[in-house]
Amino acid sequence: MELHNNSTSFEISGASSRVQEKWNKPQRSRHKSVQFEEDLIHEEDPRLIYINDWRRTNDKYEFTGNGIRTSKYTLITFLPKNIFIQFHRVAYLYFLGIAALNQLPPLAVFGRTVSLFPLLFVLCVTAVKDGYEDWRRHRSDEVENNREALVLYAGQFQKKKWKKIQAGEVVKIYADETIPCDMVLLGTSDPSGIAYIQTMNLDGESNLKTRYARQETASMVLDVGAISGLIKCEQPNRNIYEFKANMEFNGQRFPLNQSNIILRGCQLKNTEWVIGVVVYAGQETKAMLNSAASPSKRSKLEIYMNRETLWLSFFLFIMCLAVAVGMGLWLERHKNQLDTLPYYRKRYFTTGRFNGKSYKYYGIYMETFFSFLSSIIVFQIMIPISLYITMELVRLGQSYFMIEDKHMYDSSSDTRFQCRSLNINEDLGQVRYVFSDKTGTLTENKMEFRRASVYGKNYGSFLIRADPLEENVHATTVEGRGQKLKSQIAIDNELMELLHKDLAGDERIAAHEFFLTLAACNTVIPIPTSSASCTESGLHEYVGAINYQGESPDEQALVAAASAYGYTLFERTSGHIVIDVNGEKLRLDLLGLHEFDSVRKRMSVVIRFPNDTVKVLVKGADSSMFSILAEDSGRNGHVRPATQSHLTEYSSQGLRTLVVAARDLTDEELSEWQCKYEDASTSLTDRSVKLRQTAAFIECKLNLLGATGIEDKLQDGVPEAIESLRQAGIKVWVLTGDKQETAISIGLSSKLLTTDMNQIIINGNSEDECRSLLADAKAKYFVKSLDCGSKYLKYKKDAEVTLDNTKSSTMPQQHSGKEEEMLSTSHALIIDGNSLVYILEKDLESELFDLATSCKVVLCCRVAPLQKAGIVDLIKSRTDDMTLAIGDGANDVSMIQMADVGVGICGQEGRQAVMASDFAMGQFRFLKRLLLVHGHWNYQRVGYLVLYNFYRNAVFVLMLFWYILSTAFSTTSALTDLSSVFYSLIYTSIPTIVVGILDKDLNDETLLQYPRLYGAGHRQESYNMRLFWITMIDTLWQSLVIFYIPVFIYSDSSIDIWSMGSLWTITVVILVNVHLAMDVQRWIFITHVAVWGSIIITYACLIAVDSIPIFPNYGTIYHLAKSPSYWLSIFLILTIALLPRFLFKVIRQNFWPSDIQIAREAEILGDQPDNLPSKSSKGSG
Amino acid sequence: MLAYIQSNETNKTCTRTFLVPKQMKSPVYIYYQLDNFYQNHRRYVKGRSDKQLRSRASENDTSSCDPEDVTSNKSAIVPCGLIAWSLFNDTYGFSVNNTLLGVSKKNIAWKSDQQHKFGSDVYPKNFQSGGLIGGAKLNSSIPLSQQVDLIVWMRTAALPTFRKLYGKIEVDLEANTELTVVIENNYNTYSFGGKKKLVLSTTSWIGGKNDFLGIAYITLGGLSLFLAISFLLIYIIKP
Repeated sequence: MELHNNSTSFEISGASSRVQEKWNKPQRSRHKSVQFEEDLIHEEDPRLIYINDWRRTNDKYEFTGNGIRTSKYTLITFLPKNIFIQFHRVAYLYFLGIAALNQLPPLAVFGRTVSLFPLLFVLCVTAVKDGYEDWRRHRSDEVENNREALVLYAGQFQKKKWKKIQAGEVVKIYADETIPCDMVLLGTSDPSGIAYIQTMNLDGESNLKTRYARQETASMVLDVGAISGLIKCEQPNRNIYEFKANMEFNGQRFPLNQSNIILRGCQLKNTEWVIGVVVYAGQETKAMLNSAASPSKRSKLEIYMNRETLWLSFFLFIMCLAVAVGMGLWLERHKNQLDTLPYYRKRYFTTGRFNGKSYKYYGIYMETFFSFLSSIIVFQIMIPISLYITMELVRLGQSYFMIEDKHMYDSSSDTRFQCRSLNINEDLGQVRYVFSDKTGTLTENKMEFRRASVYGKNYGSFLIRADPLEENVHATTVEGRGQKLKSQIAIDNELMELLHKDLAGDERIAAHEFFLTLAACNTVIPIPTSSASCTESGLHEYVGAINYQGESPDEQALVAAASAYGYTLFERTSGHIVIDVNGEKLRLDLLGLHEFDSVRKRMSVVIRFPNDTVKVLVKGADSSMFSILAEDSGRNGHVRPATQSHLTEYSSQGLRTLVVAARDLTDEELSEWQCKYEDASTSLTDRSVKLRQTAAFIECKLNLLGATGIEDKLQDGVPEAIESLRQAGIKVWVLTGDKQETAISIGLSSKLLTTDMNQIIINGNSEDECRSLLADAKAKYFVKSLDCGSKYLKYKKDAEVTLDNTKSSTMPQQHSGKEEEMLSTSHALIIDGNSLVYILEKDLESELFDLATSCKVVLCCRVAPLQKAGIVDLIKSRTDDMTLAIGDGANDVSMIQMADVGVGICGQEGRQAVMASDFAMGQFRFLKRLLLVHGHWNYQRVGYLVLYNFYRNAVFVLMLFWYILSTAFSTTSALTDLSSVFYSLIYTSIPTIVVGILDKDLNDETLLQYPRLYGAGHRQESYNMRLFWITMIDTLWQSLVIFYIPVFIYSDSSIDIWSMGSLWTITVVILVNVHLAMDVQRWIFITHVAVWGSIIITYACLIAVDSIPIFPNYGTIYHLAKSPSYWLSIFLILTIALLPRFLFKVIRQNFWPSDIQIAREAEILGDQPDNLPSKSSKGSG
Repeated sequence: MLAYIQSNETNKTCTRTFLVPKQMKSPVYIYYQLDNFYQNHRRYVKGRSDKQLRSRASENDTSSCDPEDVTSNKSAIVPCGLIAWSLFNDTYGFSVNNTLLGVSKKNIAWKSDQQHKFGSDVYPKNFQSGGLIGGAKLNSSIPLSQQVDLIVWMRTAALPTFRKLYGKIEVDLEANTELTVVIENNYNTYSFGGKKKLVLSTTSWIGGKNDFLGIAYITLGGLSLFLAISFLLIYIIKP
């Protein structure tokens, strides 16, 4: 898109260069997209592969061998490289900086080794983890590299390890083997050169794909030793859907495309063997080039958290400054006493060499500065670096529970929930906008043939499900995503009767051609599964034994339907199609095939009938078909309007429609087309454009045959899920490529649109039109918010004049009373892709935004993939609200990556969406559970986790700070070094993790029953500035209590520094754990173990440390434990420290309860009060 | 003043007499209290070598004792470091009606310290032999494990105002007994502007005398009762 500004129209440039340009001539035309720009590069620098001659191929040693290396390290590079990579994280640098500061002699606050401990701990854990992962990669690489394949060597195929295969070599692969590298097919066991491959490893699609060897080479493969030739192809790239090359072979030159190449990682199926020449090997294969991770996202809460971390840094700075200034002033005041103070020595008094020299004293200013630095060391955990590691662990745990959630397991496709991104779990709890794809997301993408309009006659309107035992019903198995779906196709008897008439009359011929087109004009591959037992073969026996595999479910449905009506697609090769027409086999030569593309929106085949007539059969979207139909002649004059009305009817029922047309080709047309087709398909550059031109040449003046209506069934539970999401305050927008009527009908059936909504439809064809439509809509519906007085009047007027509001009559009744709500909720905006082109690129964006956000529902139809992303971006850039995009197809990838949260549906359209997504699941309805239950939980947990970690570290640091104020600002810590280090590492870390993973404020049933509870995330109830400050004030109070109560208690006693330190250590640990325990909402065994276990561990550590005689604190805990005042102090501190918090909680719960608390009480009481929604609305209001 | 305390010749003995306000059961603990003495100062806390204190073999392990680590001829000071160097050296003698009361030093230090931390084979060496004398001298024929005053002193205090156990009087003191204390006022508190106090105290089951703990608990109890009643009222009035 960056080249957009220098593009002329791309059709024009193609047309001008089409004829005179050969593939190797320099390019003159300018290109629209980056992709074509790339072609130009390839053109100038093609990769030359000499078949069966790898030495010559690789004479410059520029191509890699087939060995792969996915591992990052080797034994030697592991340590330096791993450490280098680890220190890319700021947290580690902070650790390192602190540890380094501590190594300076004047600053050595902690013992030198102890201060390195946290850093080393984290480094080691990460290194072990990385090392283990890499070791596994090494092993899998090894296995992969040492697999064997048959490689042609001196005229014979010999076994060779994968890693030794070179580009240019000829490799033979047998059925069910994995393909070792990217190869151009030379020949297969099939004489026509067809091979079937499964690309599961590459794109996740389980259906078989067809690949062809060129006829020219396919015939030669039996004498493989003699094959030689030259392939010129593009440089390695990661586009798995495109391959451009040509081959010089036996003096001929012919093109190669994506259907001639088999890629590494795919498996050969249904083909005995194939022979191919290696073009890309090892790291240069498309599979390897594609194995990159998707970009990572950061959660919103984490962004807020960083803002608060800045505050904490500020506090840290203030505290360090206070200590430093205090130190400076103290030194200044005692300047003259410094030599006589018994506890401060700045000079040596020993006689001898050092006499009179200063001892670790660098002047007041330096001492002040050093004191600043050393206080940073002491207070380092004020910045909760460990929080980042804790959060990672917590999210990992949360993901585990999301993945294991049985309610999000799709048994029909055997897909679990997947967490592909570990950074944004808590964002799920704050989603405000859901952008949903329609096909495959809201709908099942399992197509069923429902209606047909043949020659202006409507069939299937009163379809009865035919009895399966009836003879004219054909059970057709459609292979989809690995499992067989037996679908019964209901037959319209009237149409069936028509087909059994003799082949005479326009209508009968049209019907014949109609079904012929359905059967022939597609890319579906018929695969006989079980060898049918009856070889004498009545029609019906083998019909049941054919699997139709194809990339498009629409086509599968159409072929299955055709088969049901007696037109069974029986065999398809690159050269011919065999169709079984009511028992007679009809062999059609396939002269050319123009595949479906999104510009033409149609596909066509050119076939030669056995009687030498040549026909072009076309099917496509109605919008693209009616313009290329033949002028209305008398013959089919009535057909066109009739078909059009049928189409409108079908799409209003939510059916997907296709128009079918055909025409005969004359010999001149045929030869001209063949010439063009040949030229276009051998072209290395602009091939798709040229093919499009060629297609346009024959796709004209077509005779309309009819139309089909395919039902795209809604997935289970979609309406309920949408309803719940809406109650939860989430706006659901549907972005679909379908046409407006289909979109609206799906909207209605999925309860997205309700009949009492005002539908605002924007479909302009120019900027001005869009502008005026937007302005109109705004004026009509939303200007009222400005002048409340005239609201009612205007509204009434609107109801009379609305341009498209279908059911405006219900409005005035509802209107009384709740005007506001009505205004904001009962509009639906329906906008199409054309208008979006004008709106998104121009300054109308903000107008659209205003309009769209004030509507309850937005449906965008006919949108291109990039526009989907554009719409998401529109919301993302203008609001702070969280966006979620959900989709299943490759066209949703951009939207999924753009949104804050991207959810992929493992549907039938491949895995690109899943690969790009953050979360993936099997069904749309799981979204409800994902957001309302897991999103809610995760948000609550992580929000609390962050606040608690801030508190936990700050209370500790503040406690140290108060003590330092009473040590003449000398950064002494009463706690032992080990306790200081263990505090956040061992003493208090496990309970936060456990609570962060397992705590549930409410049951999933309650959350699903009352979607309004999700609003807590929207209102940022779990984490916001106010809570942060409340927590900080609470922290301040608790730290003061924890410091001063022991000071008062022991002020007139002989307590020593280690006893005091021990008391503080244990008290702060118990305090933060009890604080946590107060907030735990669901106590399970493991929570108990974690919370109380931490306290026990702390005691154990204290006892252990106090049992080593070389530490000055030896024996402290034993001595303390004997004294009752120790225990009394702990209890007193806990009670007083937590009292304000307890009171605050109790008073809040009693007088200003939140929705969640009410729901929880209801849960505890065990009954589900019916008045909850009203009560909760009061609470939230 | 400074000259007075620093001089070895001047007689620093003084005598104080006071009445025992109420009966004190034995043992009566004798504490000295120092104000404004930052025993918790970082430079001070670190001035010790626990290895050296513990065993004779580590006698030269004085690296952490700088600047009171070795004598001018590089011989290790035992015990080294600022803490030991500044050992408190006032002495107290008590008498009632001109009868001398015995001051017991038994069990004034922690048992664990005496048994495991301060070695019985470690004898003072080169102690207080430098240019500046910080405090008490130690009898170099008594091992460190028996130097209870040192052991008490080396348990550095947590706060700048602290008490340390000096000894115990093993007889009951009746109320209104006139107690005469003879104080050898050796320790230099003028250098840090500190104060010295002498405290006699008895213990209860809870440890030392502790008003704060009692008051705090009574207050807390009252508060809890008040809250309990108010919550009860709230519960009754507005369920």
